Amino acid sequence: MNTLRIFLIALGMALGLYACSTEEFEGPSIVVLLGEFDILDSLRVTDSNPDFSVNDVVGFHAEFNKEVDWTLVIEGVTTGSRKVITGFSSRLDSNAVVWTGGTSQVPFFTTEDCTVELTVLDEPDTMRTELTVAGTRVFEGIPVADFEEGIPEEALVFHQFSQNMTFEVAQDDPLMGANYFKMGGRMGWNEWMLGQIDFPLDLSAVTADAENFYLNLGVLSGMDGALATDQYVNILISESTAPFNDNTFNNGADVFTTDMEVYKYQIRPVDWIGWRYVAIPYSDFEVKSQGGDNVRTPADISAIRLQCQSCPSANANCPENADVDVRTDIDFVMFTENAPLLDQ
Amino acid sequence: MKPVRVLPLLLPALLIGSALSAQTDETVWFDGQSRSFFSRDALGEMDRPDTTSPRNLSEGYNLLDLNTHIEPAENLEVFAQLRVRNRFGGFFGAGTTIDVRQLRASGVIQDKVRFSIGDLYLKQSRFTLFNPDEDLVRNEGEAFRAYRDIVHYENFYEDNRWRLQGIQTDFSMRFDRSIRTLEFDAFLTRPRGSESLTSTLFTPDLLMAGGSVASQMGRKTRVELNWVNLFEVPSSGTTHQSLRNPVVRAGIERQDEMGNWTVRHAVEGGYAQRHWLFSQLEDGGADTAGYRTEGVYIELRSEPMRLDSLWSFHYGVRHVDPGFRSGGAQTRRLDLGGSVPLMVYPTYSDEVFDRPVAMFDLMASDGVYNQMLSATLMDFHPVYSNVLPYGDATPNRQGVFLQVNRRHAQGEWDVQLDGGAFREIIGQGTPDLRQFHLLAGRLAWRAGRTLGWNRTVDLAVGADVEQTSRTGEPLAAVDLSRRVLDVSANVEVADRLFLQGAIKRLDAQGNEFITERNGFGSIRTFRAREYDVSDHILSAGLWYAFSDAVYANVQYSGWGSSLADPLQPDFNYRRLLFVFSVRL
Repeated sequence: MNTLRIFLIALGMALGLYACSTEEFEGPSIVVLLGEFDILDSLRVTDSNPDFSVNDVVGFHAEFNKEVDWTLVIEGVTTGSRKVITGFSSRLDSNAVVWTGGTSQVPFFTTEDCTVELTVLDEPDTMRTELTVAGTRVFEGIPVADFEEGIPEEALVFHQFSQNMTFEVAQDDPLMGANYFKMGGRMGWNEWMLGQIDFPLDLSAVTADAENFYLNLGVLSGMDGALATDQYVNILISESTAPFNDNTFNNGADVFTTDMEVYKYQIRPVDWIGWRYVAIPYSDFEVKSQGGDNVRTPADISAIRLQCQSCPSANANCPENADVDVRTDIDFVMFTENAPLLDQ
Repeated sequence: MKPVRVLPLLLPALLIGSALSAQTDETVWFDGQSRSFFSRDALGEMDRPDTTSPRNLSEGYNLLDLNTHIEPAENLEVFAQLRVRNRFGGFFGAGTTIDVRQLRASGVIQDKVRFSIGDLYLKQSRFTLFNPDEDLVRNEGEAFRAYRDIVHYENFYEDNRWRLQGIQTDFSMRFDRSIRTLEFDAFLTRPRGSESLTSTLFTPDLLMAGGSVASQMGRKTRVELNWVNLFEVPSSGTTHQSLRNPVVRAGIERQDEMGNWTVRHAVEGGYAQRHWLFSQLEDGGADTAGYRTEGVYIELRSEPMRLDSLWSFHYGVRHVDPGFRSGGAQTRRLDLGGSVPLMVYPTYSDEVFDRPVAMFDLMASDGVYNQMLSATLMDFHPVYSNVLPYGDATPNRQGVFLQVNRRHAQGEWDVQLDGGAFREIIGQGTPDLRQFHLLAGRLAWRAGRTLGWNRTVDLAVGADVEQTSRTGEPLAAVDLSRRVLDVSANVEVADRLFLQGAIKRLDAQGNEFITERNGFGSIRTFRAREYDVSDHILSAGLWYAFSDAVYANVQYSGWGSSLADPLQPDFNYRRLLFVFSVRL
């Protein structure tokens, strides 16, 4: 039968092609994957004294006998800052597994000694080494305020005049550099907003869209280990083209009124003690007032307002706040394009 | 469904429409689909209390898909499907959406060349362009038809075709010598447009082109040649990599008559190659190709059938290389990659656990289904389908298959048996090969006919068993068995009113290794998994058929999973469903 002949010839060709294959099996060996773990080459760094201010890069190298889930942790001895890098491979390639001085968890690294630990999931071995940071990382972004020179001249600060109001630059516990901005106090009447700081901005050179444009800021909370109930940072971003501060008789900038294009985001609640560094994509901001086209356009941003707010103790809203100071201090406020600052 | 961009789709229709506006013999007609859907889900008996999930929740909508057919000239038709959907609870227009769901212009040029532009439903062969059935659908009873109708309709699944957007044309020629016909078909579609990865990084357009030539050689022999290419256009994006996945296929069929039997013999084979092109233009270098795989397939089959069609067989052998990659034929309907959240109670046990996917999700959640061709092998669940998870084109399989159909002369009953025995061609993670066995059977008894009743009484029972094993190295051993039982009844209790009941139960025990692949389809690692699952759906309801095109269905179902895992509690839920469907 002709058909059968054709089939047999074709089958022979197919099997011939198969026979040419030199692969023993596809993928990594299961026996090795599930077998005993072995370190072929322990942890090494390419630079044990990096100066990140001149763009030094530290590479990490290690080799195992199989592909594993590994975690590399660099921790500053002085600051306690931690950079965590994870991966799944049988080898840490020093060209690919690198550290450029950033952190995964604030505070930021300073010039300090660091411990480096490499651990493998489900394995008891820990590989260790050390390095010393000779110069700290200069992050790329569009700075709003780091308060190193005090409150920026063009910024506007307003706060209520109740108890312990602190809307000023302080030096006792900065996140980055020497200064930070305190926002806190205790409200004596039925008012949520304690105070605010407004900054004018010109971001016309920005090309990123809202999904890829991030507001980054550090928020410090917890006065003497105590937290006020429902305290939060209210953030307003304006795309209004109105003058920033023509009316000097109101309590802030003029570009956040209800007839203007304003977007809002709340870091709420601020319920942690110490610093936390937050990154918010601009696309996560909601429309506060429908004064514009409702399209978040980073290049059109003209001002930002950072407000300290909290549930008031008055009128039995949050009576427990009568004895607690609200604290939502800020530092190192910066916009970044394409990625959050801590991912740099 | 996401709202589509109306303007680009309307443009061809408007151009054609305006060009022909001077015609006076225009014909317009309408058809479509209307559906009212209401479901109420409730917590059932749980292993552990669930105090954070609502005890019950309801969802529903009304929709109307209005198809407008305009025939502005002879042999020319413009088709538009507009969807108006109103979610229950929407008030004063809130929750109401209006979408253009489909648009197509089609016609015949000079009574010879047929063409279509817009939304196309395309299928070629099982190894080049084909939309294989979803998992666990075999043997399913009539009681679950309302669910399946919705899943298929919402995902544009029609006869194993993929819905693609582009242009298609075909024409044929007839001869009176040894070559009787020559048929040509060609298409160019865009399954996916450029997508933004970051503000400066865009994926290129994904296109699929294809063509076929088929010829009837004499009375008994038919020859086919198919070609498809799933590829990306580098210039339409800013990434430096683009896909190439050409597949060619040739087949020959011959039909003979032997006494009371007709026998169709067929042999077919093909070659596929897939690689990514890495552009080095910015560095001034030449393009390079990477992640290259290639492979062949071959299939020989025979299909004897008695002239009275009471008996038919379908059997053959098949070999599909490990490197045979055909995005058009190996893309799965079910997207079990975890990117689509489950629609009903996605978490449970006080939101401590993500609920594992269950058999009911495959039936009731049209969102877990996929409409996009995939260039790489998609994830699958070995409990639901492990023998041929990518249909007949599943790579790394060789073996035999058999199907037997037996039908009663008066249509009182019919029986279907399916079987297959396959093995891997190359091992995964070990030189040892998996062995696969598949056996499925279904008996449908039209008891009403047998007993001489005037009303319909249909009973069906089906079983579907898959067995996977791998011996050799104990660390890499595999032993997984899965059984699915389907029992259904459809009884006409009054004129056009049917009482329906169905049981669907799945049991699986054993172990398997889940294959994890990287973005280029290469195996990254294997994850060992143990399974001891018992999954069930019990359903009872009423079906009223106003006509063949109009029905109302109300049914109550209980479903859940028993996982035999102390760390993962069992779960059970209930659902009340009402569907009123009208095909206009």
